[in-house]
Amino acid sequence: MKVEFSAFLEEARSKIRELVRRLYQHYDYVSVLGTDSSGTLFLVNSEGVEVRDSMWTERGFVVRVHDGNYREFSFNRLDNIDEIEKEISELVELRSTIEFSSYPVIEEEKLKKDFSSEVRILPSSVSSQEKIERLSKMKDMAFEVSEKLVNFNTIYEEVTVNKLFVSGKKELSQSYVWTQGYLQPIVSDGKNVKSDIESFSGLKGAEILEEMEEKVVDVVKEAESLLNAERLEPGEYDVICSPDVSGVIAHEAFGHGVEMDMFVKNRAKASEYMNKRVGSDLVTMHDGAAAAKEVSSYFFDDEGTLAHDTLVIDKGILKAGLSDLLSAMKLHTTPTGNGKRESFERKAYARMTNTFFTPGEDTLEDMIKSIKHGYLLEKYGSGMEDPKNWGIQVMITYAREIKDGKLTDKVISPIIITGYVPELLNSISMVSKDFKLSGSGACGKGYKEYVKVSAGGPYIKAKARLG
Amino acid sequence: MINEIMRSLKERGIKKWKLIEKRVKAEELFFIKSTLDMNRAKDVTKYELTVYEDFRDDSEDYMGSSTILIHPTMTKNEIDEKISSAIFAAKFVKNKPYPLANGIKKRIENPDKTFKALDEIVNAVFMPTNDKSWINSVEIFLNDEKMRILNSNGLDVSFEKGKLEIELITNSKNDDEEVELYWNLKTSDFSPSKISSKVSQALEITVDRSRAKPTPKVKGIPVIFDESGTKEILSYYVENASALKVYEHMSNAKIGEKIQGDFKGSGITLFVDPFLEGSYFSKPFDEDGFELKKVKLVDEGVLLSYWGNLRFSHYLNVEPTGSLTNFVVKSGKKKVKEFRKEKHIELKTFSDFQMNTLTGDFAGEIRLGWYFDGENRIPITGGSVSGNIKDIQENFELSNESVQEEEYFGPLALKAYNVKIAGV
Repeated sequence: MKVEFSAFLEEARSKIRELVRRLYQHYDYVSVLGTDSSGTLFLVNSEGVEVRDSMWTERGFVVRVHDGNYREFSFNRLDNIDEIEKEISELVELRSTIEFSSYPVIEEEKLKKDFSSEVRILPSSVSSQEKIERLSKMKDMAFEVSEKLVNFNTIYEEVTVNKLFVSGKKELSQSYVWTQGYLQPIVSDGKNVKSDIESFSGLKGAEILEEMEEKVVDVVKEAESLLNAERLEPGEYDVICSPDVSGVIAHEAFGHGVEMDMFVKNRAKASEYMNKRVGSDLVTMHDGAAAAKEVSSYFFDDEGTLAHDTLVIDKGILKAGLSDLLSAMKLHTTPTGNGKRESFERKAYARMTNTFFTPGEDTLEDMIKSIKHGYLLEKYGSGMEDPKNWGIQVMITYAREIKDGKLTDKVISPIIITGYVPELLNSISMVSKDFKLSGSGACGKGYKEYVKVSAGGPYIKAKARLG
Repeated sequence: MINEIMRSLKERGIKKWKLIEKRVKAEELFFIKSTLDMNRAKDVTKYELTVYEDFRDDSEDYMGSSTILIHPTMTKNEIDEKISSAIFAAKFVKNKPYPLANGIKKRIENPDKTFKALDEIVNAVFMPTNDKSWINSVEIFLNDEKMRILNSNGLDVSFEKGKLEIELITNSKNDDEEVELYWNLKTSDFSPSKISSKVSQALEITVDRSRAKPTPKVKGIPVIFDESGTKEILSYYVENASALKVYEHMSNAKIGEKIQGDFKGSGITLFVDPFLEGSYFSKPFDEDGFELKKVKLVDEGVLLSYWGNLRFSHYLNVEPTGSLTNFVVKSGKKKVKEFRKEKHIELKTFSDFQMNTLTGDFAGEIRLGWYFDGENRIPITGGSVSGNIKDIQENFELSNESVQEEEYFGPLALKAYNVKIAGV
């Protein structure tokens, strides 16, 4: 089913064109991004139900103008263009007290295009009643699996993204749907309380509910096993990272490190390593809205640059970074379609899209066999970057012990991976043929500017410092 | 817009509802060193509407709800359709009934001074200097927020607030490489001297990171957490006293219970305080429009009260406190100087120190700390710290000195035993 473009933005087109035309009388460059994204989150657990608009719901505009440097104004009314013009002119008032960084004018080629995606089941074609009932059934099924279950959160979220970009030479529109879901069992043995989470995501419609239904039993059993989890003795171990954990390593280790607005600020160590070795021969990494089909697969970014597939690391050698439009201008590079905003209310930064390691030739079985004593790191909770000094932190929800080439029954939880990024990537010695991307949750830059991204890859074997 | 929403509610016969109008005007400055890279402004108004539907099923009473965003650019038809869909969905939401906030009317105004402070804030950020460290980049977000909450009981309350967020990156250099530290300051106190003092401290501490050695592989020595770690560890007690967490079985905390075990170290005495001075999160009303007040939750390790909004407090049959963010913890007896007398590791900043309030597990990668080997205090970096609150709470000690760290006012430091360090 084809995703229809927003009727609101379609109607606003002529007003936006008029605003751009009027502003061009005063400025060298003008662009307007209009957004109309709508979505709903459904949550069912043992104690209640929640239905609310998704946190990704937004409708508004951001104007960018150039007058020596770039300035922006975000707003969500369109009834008085004179007032918007006045607000933008007032942005200049700071000039007398502060020194500005000058930028050249954005040069664009003429481009007019409308994009839209397709999903199997449009979220709007399934009633709220059916969505709540299916989530309720999953919750009821979970309680049949385990007596230790004290609560079970089932969450389904659907978002339809609509964007319209108008500048002097470009007029682009896009509409696409993504959905995500979570199954979160909370178990207790009377003494300890533990929780697990299984997430689902994709450029999909309501069909994602089917994937969730299939995983209910497994995730409850996994959560039960965490009740017997042991703590780890800190140290360096051979580890196998699941595709989810590989993904967060790709994301934190090198994704954030090659966001090129950090190069402009001299905050990225990666800028000293272009065309140099940063990982073993087995490490090849991509990022791009056009590199995969997941929640961050759009047709153009929030600055009107078309989506790319960027080869970041090729067989261990750092090849390219990810840039927004303004950073690319400062660095004299080509923008890669990574200029993303949390919403129309926020600034565009260089951000990741779909970031992943490519598959290799090994099998998971062989990888396990090759380890004398180590861990299979299954699921992660969060990660944090350190682009300047290449530290890495990943919180692992749980891992399974490997002894003499076999998985044991021992479950370890929680674990923290820390280390120096090149050391970790250079230690990658086996890479599996599997491949999986996951895009639930959100990625921040520091502690703010949350955007949708996906990350993943194959199973990888490496040496890691665990705590 | 409010009139238009009221019209639609009335036409649809919706008798229970809550509406939040939020207008945010903002000035945003993005600096690289001291040069302005970009400036932005915004003026955005949003309406969040919750509609409620009372119904009966299988001899049980329910109060369903659905929450939607109404945009100022929506047409009459769009508003009508969205509200109709919301009330349809609410009919399938089987939640136990609970009361909405009482129909009080109150208006708390903030003299319009938020944006007048901008120049002073910028000057305060760039005022401090240090021979060995410097500001790499700064982002300043100054918001002027106006919030109005109405409901079908006749509630009509409003308040205004200025908010400041500063993201600061400070750098320093040793012989081999440049290092940075990340800081995020959220406050409603625009006092230039306080802002400069934070920046000055950040610059000073960054110099220590440039001199830092890899964290040693040590076992069995006490760990002193500075303000950020202390706040995160103590947040465990706040979260476990949440009515929502208790109702949803995410916390087993019981009123009257010793939630800190049989402690021999410092006892926890903890309040939630909506009026903490200068806090970014202070507010007179919560999202239900419930009027907030300071409440003592824990006294010397004994849980006195849950905190929670009208819904979850009603479910647990406890007095509602409203939904609160700020928390205040009573300081301990010993000075930090005394904590530092014996061999220890002191941790100042992390990549992202996290407390799992369900399990009590905490961990973080060390960006800067100090190792005191009995003679020398050596800056350290790398590796991680991890532990569980249940293993430390009976013996930890809280410092006598207090500090305000965003939504927290309480001990500057917490000294813990039985914490694991993964050295480099």
